[in-house]
Amino acid sequence: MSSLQIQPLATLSPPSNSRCWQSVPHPSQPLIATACSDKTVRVFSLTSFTLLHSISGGHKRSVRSVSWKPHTKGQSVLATGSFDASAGIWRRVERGPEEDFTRHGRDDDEEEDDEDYQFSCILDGHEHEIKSIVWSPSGQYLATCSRDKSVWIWEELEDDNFETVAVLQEHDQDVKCVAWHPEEDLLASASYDDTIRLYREDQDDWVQVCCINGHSETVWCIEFEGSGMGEKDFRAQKGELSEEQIQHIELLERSGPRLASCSDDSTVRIWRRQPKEGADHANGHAGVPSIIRSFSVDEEWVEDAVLPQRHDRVIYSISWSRKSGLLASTGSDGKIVIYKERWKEQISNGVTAAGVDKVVNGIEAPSRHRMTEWVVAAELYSAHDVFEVNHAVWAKRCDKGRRSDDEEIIVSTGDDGEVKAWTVEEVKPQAGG
Amino acid sequence: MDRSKDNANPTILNASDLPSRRRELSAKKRDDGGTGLFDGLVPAYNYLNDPFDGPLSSSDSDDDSFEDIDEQEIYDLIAPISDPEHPLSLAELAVVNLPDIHVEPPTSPQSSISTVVVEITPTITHCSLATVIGLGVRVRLEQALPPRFRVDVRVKKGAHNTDDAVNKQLRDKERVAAALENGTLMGVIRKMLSTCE
Amino acid sequence: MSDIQQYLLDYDRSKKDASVTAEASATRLQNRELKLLSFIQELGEYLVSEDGAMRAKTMAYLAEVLSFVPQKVLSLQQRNLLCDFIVSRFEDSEGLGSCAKALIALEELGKWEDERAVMITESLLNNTHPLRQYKSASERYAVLRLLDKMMANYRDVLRNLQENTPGFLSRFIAYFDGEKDPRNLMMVFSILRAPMAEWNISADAQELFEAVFNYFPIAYRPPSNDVYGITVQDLKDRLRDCISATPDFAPYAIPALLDKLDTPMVNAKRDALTAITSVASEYGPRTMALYSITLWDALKFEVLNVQEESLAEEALNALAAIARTLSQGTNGPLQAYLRPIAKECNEHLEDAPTKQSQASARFLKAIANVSPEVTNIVFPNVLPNLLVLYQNADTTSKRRGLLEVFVQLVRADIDVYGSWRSLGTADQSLANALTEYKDQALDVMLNGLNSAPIKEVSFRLVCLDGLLQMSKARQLLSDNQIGEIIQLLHSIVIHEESYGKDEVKEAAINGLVEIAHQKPEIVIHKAFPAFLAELPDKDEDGSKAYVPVLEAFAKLASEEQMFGTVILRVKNKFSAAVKQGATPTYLVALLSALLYALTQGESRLQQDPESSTYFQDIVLPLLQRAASSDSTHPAAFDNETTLDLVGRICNLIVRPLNLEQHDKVAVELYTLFTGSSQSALPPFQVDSTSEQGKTLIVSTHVLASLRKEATLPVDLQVLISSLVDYSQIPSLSPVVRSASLRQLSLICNKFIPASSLKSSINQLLHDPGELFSLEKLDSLRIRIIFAILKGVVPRNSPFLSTIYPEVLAFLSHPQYGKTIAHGFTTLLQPDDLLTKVNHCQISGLHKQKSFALLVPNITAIFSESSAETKPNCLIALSGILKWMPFDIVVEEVERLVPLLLQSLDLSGEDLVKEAAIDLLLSVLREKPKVIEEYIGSLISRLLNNSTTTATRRTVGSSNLTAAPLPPPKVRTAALKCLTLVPDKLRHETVLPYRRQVTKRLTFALDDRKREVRGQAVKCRRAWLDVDEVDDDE
Repeated sequence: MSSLQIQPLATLSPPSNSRCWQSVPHPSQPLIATACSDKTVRVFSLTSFTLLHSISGGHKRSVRSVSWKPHTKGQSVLATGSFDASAGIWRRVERGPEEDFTRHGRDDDEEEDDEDYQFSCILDGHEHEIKSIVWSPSGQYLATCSRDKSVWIWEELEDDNFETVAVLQEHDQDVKCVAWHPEEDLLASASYDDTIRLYREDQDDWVQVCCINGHSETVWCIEFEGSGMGEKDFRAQKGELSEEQIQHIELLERSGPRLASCSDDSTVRIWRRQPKEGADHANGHAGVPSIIRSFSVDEEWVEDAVLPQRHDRVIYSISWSRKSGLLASTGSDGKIVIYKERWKEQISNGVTAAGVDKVVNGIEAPSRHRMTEWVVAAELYSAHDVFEVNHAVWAKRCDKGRRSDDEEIIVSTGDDGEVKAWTVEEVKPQAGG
Repeated sequence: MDRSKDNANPTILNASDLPSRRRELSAKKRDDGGTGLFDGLVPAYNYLNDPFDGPLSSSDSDDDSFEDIDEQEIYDLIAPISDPEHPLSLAELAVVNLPDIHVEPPTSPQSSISTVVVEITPTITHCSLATVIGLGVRVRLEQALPPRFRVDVRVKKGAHNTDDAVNKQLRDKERVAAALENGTLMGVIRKMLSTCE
Repeated sequence: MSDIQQYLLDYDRSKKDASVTAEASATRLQNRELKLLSFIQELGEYLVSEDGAMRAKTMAYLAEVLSFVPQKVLSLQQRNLLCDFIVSRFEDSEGLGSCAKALIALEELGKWEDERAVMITESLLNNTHPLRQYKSASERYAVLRLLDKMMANYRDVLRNLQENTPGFLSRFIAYFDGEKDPRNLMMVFSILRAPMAEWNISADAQELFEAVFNYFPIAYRPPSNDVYGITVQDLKDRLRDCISATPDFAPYAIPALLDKLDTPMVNAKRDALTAITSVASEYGPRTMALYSITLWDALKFEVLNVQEESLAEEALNALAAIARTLSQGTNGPLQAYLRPIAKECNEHLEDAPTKQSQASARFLKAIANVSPEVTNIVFPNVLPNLLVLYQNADTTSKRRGLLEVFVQLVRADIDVYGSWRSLGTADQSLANALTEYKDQALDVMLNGLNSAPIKEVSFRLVCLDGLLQMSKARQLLSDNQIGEIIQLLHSIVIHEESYGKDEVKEAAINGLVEIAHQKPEIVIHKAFPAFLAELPDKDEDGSKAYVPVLEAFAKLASEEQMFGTVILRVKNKFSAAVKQGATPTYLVALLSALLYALTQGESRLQQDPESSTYFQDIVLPLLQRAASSDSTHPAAFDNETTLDLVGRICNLIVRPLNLEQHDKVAVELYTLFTGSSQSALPPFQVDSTSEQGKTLIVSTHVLASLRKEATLPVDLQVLISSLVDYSQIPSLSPVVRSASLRQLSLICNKFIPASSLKSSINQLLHDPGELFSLEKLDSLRIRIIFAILKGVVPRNSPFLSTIYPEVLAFLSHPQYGKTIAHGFTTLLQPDDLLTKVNHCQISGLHKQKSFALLVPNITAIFSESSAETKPNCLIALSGILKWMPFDIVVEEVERLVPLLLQSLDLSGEDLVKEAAIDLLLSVLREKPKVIEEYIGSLISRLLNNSTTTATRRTVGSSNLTAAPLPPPKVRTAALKCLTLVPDKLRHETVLPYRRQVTKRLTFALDDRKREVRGQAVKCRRAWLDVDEVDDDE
């Protein structure tokens, strides 16, 4: 009963000969960086889908994770986290968006030194493999996590001068993934110990403010919902809403962006913060120490939904579209699944209702009655042939074929060393809800 | 020399008692109960392959028939791995056993992913090397099986004190990947696999 | 200028010239032109020189001169004068080496009196102690040689000196302190060996021991420019001799060596173990008695807990050596040594089968086969317990473990007491120590083998082995007991249902053969009737029960006492079966058995062929039956395989007969003793029945067996041309055609005399035969051409150089070029009829010759010829190379590789590819360098011939193979070859391909054929092991 269809758009060329872990789109440029087990990072153009740069020489082992620094002017800054326990910072002067059109088709060997990404500094400190690295939305902080059970927060005082502002050792096992709240300086980490933990600053000191137990196996990936999604996802479609529905929307507003997580227990779960009476964290300008201080920093996050279970092996990655609110997951079984949230049947037309039930029953949460439901909107088998898919992410579509300015594609990264771009299209009008 | 092994004196199976494929084959070939002593009396090349006519191929009859990868084949792949502390194979030590190997077909028609589950039985319940052995088995199979197979290596229930912990490690792709980039550990694994022919 | 001046002048410039001068002086001394006195006086002035080098050279001059002076020139008094003079020079720090050399030279001119020897030694020790103060190794070497000489020639003198001068020995020992030069060490060791072995050194034993043991373990790698060729092994051996030189060392040596056992370094350990072994064999029983148990306690760990196999072996040697030494002494110490061993082994047996029970088996085996004294102690201490444990054992695997130990003991027993046919180490009069336990053991194993479930393979194999060993052991079992074993074995062979790999059945058969070797008469007496009873005259029920029996029976023929009987019985059974009209399958089985048996005893056939009746009894009836068309002709004989067997049997028997008998056979070659007229038969009668045609299969083998001097039934040319015509009959069955063609080959090889070879072949190929005429060319004629060539090629006739080019020319033939090309593979293909034993003319060099005549030509044609012809060249080429020994091919290999690679692109030519790959394989093995430049295209071609690029979607479905792949055999071969690439070519050459290859191979891992997958796994591992240089760790 899927309403969307995932269609192959391109395989980024040339593919690597060895496993690739993760591909992260550039915040502003039509670029995507892929972390590769051959110790390199490959930067592809999203307009031509060809390799622009191969960044090597910085790491002694697999590059596991990469992150573009947001809001950088005139240059691109890339952070890399590697199994060699070190993180690297790389810089490159950008020449505006058209740059890669001119470049496209040129021989790689022409891209020499000054055109290339310069290794600008290395962040040492972790004892074991770094498994995830992420810039905070402001670009002020950089978070890393590692098999050494710790999460580190670094602050870039000025270019290439990083200071460790926190070493958080709450987890009792490997830390698999870190993610920043889009609006607040709130950091979340997911671990081999099956928990998710959240941290924020309290009296210039980063502390754990919440520990989420909900998954029964390793939590592989977490991601926060985008900012102000109320305007974009199912909530956006106006029309007469019931009392409860309006209340629900307000509740979500006060909770702020939610958190999604996926795990070795083959489930994807959504978590929501319980708003604190009086206090209102949700607005963008919250999170300023002066306000927080008066309250206990502790937060309560509750399970908001369990998504329909479509994977029969470990789920490695999820991605939550900042444009549509659609959520994509992928993992060991080689599938890519897209889920969408919507109001429950009372307003959905009969045609789908029947079909919906099946799914709903599948996901009906034990205790609490829910206003909305997540349904599977698209399902793709063997995205990378028989290989495991390590990562899938939403990205802005930039190639000539794009149909609208904010069309999104999914980019998947697999054990076969390939990075593939997929379009997501509506199939039948009556579907979709 | 180290006189401190987890199990200095393991029980040893005899090669002739280990399950083998040739067993069935030869049984199939010889319905007459003979050992094929006379098969070689008339040299094959005389009449049979006259290069002038007939198919000019060494074609072994039915190439289109599939011999699927089965439990025995998996067993044959991991049986010769040698134990990290004894100069003996995992099969001889009954660490890997045919009945504890299962090949599971794809879970749905759209999927082409099969799963191999191998349960290992460490020689004693506190064998500190269980993880290494498990890793060795997993590495061997990931090197030797086509990628459409997912390999799950577990310690047999009850066969080990901390089997859950061990199993979780063996399950974790990222840890395994990292382990394989660790030269020292890989050295040990290499040594274990060096007896695989 | 005086000689000495001359000498000193030349010395630094050219030693050679200097020597010439020295020699000259020597001659002048000899014919009295030069007085000794003035000679010495001349030296005087240089010896007082301030310049030390000058003094040293002077002494060198003296030494050299003396070395040139012949016997009898110098009087005793003169020699003494010289000697005193030289010894006086010891005080000079320069020229010591030359002094020593001079003395050596002097000594060779005449032996010294004892006092003088003493004086020399003393003043040497007094003036030059310690030797290490002299920096030049060669100088020290000279001194050591001198001392070695003294040790050799004045041993008693020195011994007395040592006994009468307190402290002498320790001064003597200390003299060599700190020697490091290997060559000198060899000397030191051999100098010290004498006092160690012969002097009374009790007081200085420790000092003496340590003097040498300081060098243990010896770790020395000879320099690349080593001139003396002293290996580390030489040093080790000398040192070991020293250590084991005298029991007096025991108190120091044994603890010290045991101490070394704890080092982690394998080499040091191995040296310690070997040292212990030689110590154990040298120190003698009385000393070893003191240490035997300590040693056991230390050595056992090397076996119980094998760190490295070689160490375990050496430890066992040591333990055995101890036992051997103690066996020479009184019984007490031996007892004392063996008891704890037996005790510990018994303990380990408790929980057999384990690593340690296996270790116990090794201990007992190693020790028990040393001597009867040992077996007499070990057996009573171990066997009763072992048998008890066996009775109480709860699992089969435990019983197996115990018997494994027992079998080892029986083997040991055989080493000591011998087998029925060979004596052991022990004196024959001694009673076998196993006797006491034989009955019980026999029961146990008969029982085990008999009653254990059939799937207990390993257990039953052990029982069987045990029984076998016991049956061999000299004077152990009675004939009846052996009979029981035989009965059990043949009943297994006959009645037991087939299981698994039939290891037990096979072992049983081989067991019978082995017993037959020891006790033939019992086997004949017991087993034969049982076997024959199983062989029906007529096989109604179609059961194949007789097959294993026949196999066992035929195998027994390999034992020469059995041969005659076996042949006879099988032959009779065959004729009976024929009379009863048994099925072809049964007859084939019987013939196969007969043929197998004959091949087993071929040597016996040759011994005195004339006297044997096999021709009358076997060949004649067979031939007549084969050829007869009346009722005596069994249906089975219409079967081509049957006839082939018949032919081979006749061939074996006829082959060794003499010429006269061959002539008799030759006349009947085609009539086969049926009396029918030859002209009515093939090959002379073109329209003969297919039954008659089949007799050619038999006649081919008979023809093959004939000497080339034998006279054929018809004129040569007639026979040849009839065969040529006959071979062209389209309707012939492949086998019959091939038979007629092979007759052609045989005739061309054996019966055409060299003189007329060229002419008669030409008659065939050109006029009138016209086989070579283009118009008439067709595939039947092409076969004939190659059949003829096949006969000629091994004769290595010069005439080949004219035929080959003509044949090669056909490669470009539009229609038949390819057929011709394929023909080449037949030329050198091994053939079981064209052999020396069949009296064929096989020149040792014919392969080289054909290679030289063909390969360069083909490569030439290839480069010139059109795209259509090129493949034919490649096909022909591979057909030749396929059978070429690599050492011939290797000459041309550089030029061949590119062609081989191209033949991997031919589609459909799987045999060609296979051959090409095989060859590439050997090139990789023998001459990898050659391949290196082609690595890229080699790898891609091998991959294309072994893997698809499409994954197998779902199991069982076959929608995968993008391009059609060659058959499994080729795929496997390609993978084999690819497997070799990484370890034959340089790392840096291979590395760039690693990722792509390993990735592509994942498809081969999913090949539909298991065999291919297996090779793919090996291949991929080889490539995965190609490491990227790891910059960390």
